Amino acid sequence: MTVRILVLLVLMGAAFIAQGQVKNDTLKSVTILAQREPQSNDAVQVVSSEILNRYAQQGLQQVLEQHSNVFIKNYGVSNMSTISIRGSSAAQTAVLWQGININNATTGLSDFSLLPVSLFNQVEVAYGSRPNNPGIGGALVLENKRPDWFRPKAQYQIGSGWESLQNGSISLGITRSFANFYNQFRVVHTRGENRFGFYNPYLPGRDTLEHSRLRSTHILNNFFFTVGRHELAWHTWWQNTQREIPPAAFEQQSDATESIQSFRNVLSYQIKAPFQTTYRTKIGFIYDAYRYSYPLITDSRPTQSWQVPADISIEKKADDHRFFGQATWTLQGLIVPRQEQLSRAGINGSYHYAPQKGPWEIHAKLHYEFGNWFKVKPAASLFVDYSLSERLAFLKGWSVYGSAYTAYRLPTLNELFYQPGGNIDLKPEQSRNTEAGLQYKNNKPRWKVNTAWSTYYRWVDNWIVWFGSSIFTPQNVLQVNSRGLEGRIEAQWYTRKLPRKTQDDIYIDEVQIVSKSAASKPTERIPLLTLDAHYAYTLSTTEASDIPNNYSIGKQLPYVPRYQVKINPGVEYRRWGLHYQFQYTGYRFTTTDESNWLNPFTVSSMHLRHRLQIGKTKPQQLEGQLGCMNIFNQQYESMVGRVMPGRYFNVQLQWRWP
Amino acid sequence: MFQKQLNLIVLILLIINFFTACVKDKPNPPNINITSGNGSLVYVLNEGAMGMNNSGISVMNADSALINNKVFEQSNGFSLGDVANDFQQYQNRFYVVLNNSGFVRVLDTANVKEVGRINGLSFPRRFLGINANKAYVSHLYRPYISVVDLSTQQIIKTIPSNYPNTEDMVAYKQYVYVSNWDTASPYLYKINTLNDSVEATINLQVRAPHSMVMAGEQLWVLAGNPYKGTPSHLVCIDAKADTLLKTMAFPAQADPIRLTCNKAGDTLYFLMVNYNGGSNWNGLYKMPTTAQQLPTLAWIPAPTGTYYWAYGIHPSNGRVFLSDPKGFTQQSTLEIRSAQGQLLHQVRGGIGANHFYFKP
Repeated sequence: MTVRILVLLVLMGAAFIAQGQVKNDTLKSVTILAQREPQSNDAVQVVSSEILNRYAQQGLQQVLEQHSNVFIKNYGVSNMSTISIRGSSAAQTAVLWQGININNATTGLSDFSLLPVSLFNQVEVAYGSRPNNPGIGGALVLENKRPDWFRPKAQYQIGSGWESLQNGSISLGITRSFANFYNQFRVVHTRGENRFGFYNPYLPGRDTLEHSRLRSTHILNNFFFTVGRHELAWHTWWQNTQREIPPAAFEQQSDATESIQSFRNVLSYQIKAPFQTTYRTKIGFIYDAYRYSYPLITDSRPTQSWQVPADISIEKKADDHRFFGQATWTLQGLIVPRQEQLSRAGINGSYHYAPQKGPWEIHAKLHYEFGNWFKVKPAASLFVDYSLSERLAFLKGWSVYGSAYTAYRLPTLNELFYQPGGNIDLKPEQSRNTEAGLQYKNNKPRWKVNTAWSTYYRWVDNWIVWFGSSIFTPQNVLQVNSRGLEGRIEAQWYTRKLPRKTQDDIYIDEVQIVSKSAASKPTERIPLLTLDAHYAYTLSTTEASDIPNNYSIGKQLPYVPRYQVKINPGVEYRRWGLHYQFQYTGYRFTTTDESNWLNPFTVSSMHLRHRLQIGKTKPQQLEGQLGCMNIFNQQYESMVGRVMPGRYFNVQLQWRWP
Repeated sequence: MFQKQLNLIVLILLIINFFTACVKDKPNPPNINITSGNGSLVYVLNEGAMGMNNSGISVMNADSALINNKVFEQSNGFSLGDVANDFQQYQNRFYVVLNNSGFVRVLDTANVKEVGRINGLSFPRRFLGINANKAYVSHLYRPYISVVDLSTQQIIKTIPSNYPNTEDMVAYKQYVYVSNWDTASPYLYKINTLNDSVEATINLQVRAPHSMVMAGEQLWVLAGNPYKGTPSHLVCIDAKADTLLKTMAFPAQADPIRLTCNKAGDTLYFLMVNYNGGSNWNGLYKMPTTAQQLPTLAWIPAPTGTYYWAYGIHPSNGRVFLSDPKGFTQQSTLEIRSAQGQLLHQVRGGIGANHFYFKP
C-alpha cells in the first residue's frame, strides 16, 4: 500500500513537472520499474554496468584499458595511470564527478589506478570536447545512481577480490531510500604487495618487483533530500593512499613513496519550477594533499592545494527545445610549498534542439571565461546529428553527425609555480576541432548492435611540454595536430526473442514506466553471445615549434600509440559466463623525434563467471569470478622500464541483497 | 535492404583500411657505420633523459661529421643505461658512469664492448683513474667518495665528506681535489691518493663548489646552485699552498657549468645555461686566467630558445664541438665550429649529449 502511495506521489510530481507533454498512460495501469540504462551515443561511450560489474574489485584503468579507445599511460603495476584520449595529454582530459572537474589542481591529473570501479554506477567516456564537457581531449564522467524516489528500499552489497600478485580488496555498499531521503554509502579498501617475477631486459636476468606495496581507502557518500520540487544533495568522497614506488627495471634501488589524500565535497540544490524550468546551483570543495618522499636522494616534497568550483544555472525546456544558461566561478589555491591563488569566472549559454520526431539534433554552446592570471578567447561548439533513416528507408538505424568546437586548458598550479622550474609566463593551450561520424544502432528480436565510427581533426596551439634533465621547466613550445579514426562495436545475440518495445515503455525523468502486464514478465535478458570491440588509429604530431632545429616536426607524440585494437567476445549460458579479452597496442615512441620507442604488445585475458540467485521474494545475488590475466605470459612494458606482470590469476566475489 | 546495408559496411571497412594504411607503425632508423677515414674520431656521451634509460654513446668523424648514435647498442645488444654522467678513458678501457643505473660500465676502447661493470655504486657521478689498480668515484646524494679496485671491480673503501654530493675530481701530483656540490657546503677536499684519506679541507667562502680545472699550479673552481638560491662564483686557488687567490661573483641568475681550460693553461672556458632559452647568460664563454672580471658576453651565444649542455675543444685543430640537448626529449643538435667560432657542421646526436671525448 505504501509503495502504491509513493508511486502515486512520484507520478503526480512527474506529471506536474512534465507539463505540456501528452501521456496516454493512466495511473492504474502502470508500474515503475527501474531507471533508464544509459546508452552510448555518437562519440560518447557509456561503459555498461555489466562490464563495470566484471571489474568491480579493480581500478578504473583496467576497464578503460580494455573497453574503450583511450590509451592508459601506466607507470607500472600499482603505480600511477594517466589517460590519453585521441592523442591528448592527461591534463587535457577532464574527469567529472557530480559535474565538477576533480583533476588535482596542482598537477592537473587524475590517477586512474586509484579510482576503484565499485565506487561508481556508471562511467562515460566522451571522446573529444563536447558542448557539455570542458576538456580539450575529452572527458571521463563518473556517475552514481540518482535516487529512486518512488519506493523506499534498502540495498546492500559486499565484494572482495584477490590477485595472485598478493593483492586484495574489499568493498561495502549500503543504499537506503525513504520518501524524502536517499543515501548511498560506499567503502573500498585495497591492499597490495604487487609482487611478481620477470625477466629484466636491462640488467639481463630474472628479477622481482620490489618496493611496490599499496594501501588505499575510499569512502564515498551521496545524500539526497527532496521536498516537493526542491532537491538538495551533498556528495562527499574521501581518499587516502600510501604507496611505494618500485624501481624501474634499469634502476638498482628505490625507496620512494607517495602519500595521497583527497577530500572532495559537492553541495547542490535544484528546483524544478513550473513551465519545465529547472534552476540549479552547486558549490564544491576539493582538498588534495600529496607527499613524495625519496629518502635516498632528497627530502620529502609535500604539496597541498584546494579548489572551490561553483555555478548557478537555469535550464528551460520548451517542447523540443532546451535552453541552458550558467555562470561559473572557480578558485584554486596552492598552500604548500608556497601560497598562490588562481581565480576565474565564466558564463555559458547553450541551446539544444532534439525533436521527438524528426531527423535533426542540434546542440550549440558559447563559453567565456576570464580570470586573474589568464586571458582566453571565448570557446564555442556546434554539434549536429542527422538520422539517415528519415530519408533513406534502407538506412534504418544509421545516423551521421558533425561537430566543430574550440576549447582550451589553463596551466596548472604546478606548471606555473613548481620550484624549481615552474614558468609563470605560460599561456593556455587552445584547440580548434572538427569531427564527423556515423552510428548504427538497431534492436532486432534476437540481436542488438550499436556501432559508432568517427574521424576527427584537432589543432592545439601553445601545447605545454616539460623540458629538462636535472631541472624540468614547462614551455608553450608546440603546435600539435591530432587526427584519426576510431570506432567501437557493441553487440549482443539472444537465444530468445527480445520483446518488442511498446507504447507502454515510457520514461519520465529517466524512470521507466511499463504496463503491469509487462512488469510481471521476467525482465532478465542475458545474451548468449556478446561482443565489445574498439579500434583507434591516432596520428598526433608536432607541426610547429619555437625550438630551432626541432626534430619532432611531423613526428608522433611520445606515448601515443598509432594503433590500438581491443576485442572482447563473451558467451553466457544459463548462469555461467566466459569472457575473453584481447588487446593490441602498437609502437609507442618515448622521445619526441621518434628516435626511441617501445615495441608493440598483445595481451589476452579470460574470465569465468558464475551467478547465483538465492530466494525469490527478496532475491540475493551471489556472483563469483575467476580470471586469468595475460594468459600467454607476454612480457611487455607500458612505460620505459616498467615491466608489467606476466600471467596471474584473480578471484572476485560479490554479494548483493535484496 | 540487407544487401545495401552490407555494401555500406564494406564501404566503411574500405575507408578504415585507407586510413590505416597511411603510416607504417614500425620505425626504420638509419644504420650508419663510422670509420675514422682521414679524420679523427670523437666519442660523444649522451646523458639521456632521467628515468628513460636512453643514454648512449655516439661516434663521430671529426672532419666529415658523419655520426652513429647507436654504437653501444650495436656492439652489445642492450642499452647503455640511465643518466650517463661521465666518460673517461683510463689505460685501455673506457669507463662510463651511469648515475641512475647505479654502476660504471667498463668498455673495450677498440669496439665499445662491455668487459666489466663496477656495481653497488649509489648514484655515481664522476670517475677518476688513480693508477693501474685504483680509481675514485664520486656520488650524487652521498657524502663520500668510493675507492674502487680496478682489477676486481669492487669497492674497497669509502672516503667520507662533510656533505652529500661529492662532485668533480681533479688530480694534482699525488693528490685529488674533490668538490662537494651541496648548497650548505663551502668545501673542497684534498685527498692523498697514497693512503686514500683527506689531507686538507679547503673552505672556499662560497657554497656549492662543483666544476674544477687545473691550470698550471692554479685550481679554478665553479661554485653555486642558482636554482636552489645559491649564487654562482668562480674561485681561484693556489694549489701549492691551498690558499684562495681570487673570487669572482656571477650575476644571480647566471648558471655556469663545465669549467675547462686550454692546453696552455691560459684560457678558461665554461658554459652558461639559461633553461628558458633566453639570451641572457646563455652560451659558451671564455676568459683569460689573468682576467680580473668575468666576461659579460658569450663567445658563442646559444641560439634563442636553446641552451648548450656540453662542449669540447679539439686538441689538434681547436675546433669547438657544442651540443644543444633540446630539452632531453629528442636528439641533441651537435655543432662543429671552427676555432674562431664559425659554424661548420650541424648534426643530430643522441639524447642529451653531455661530453665530447677526442680519441688520440
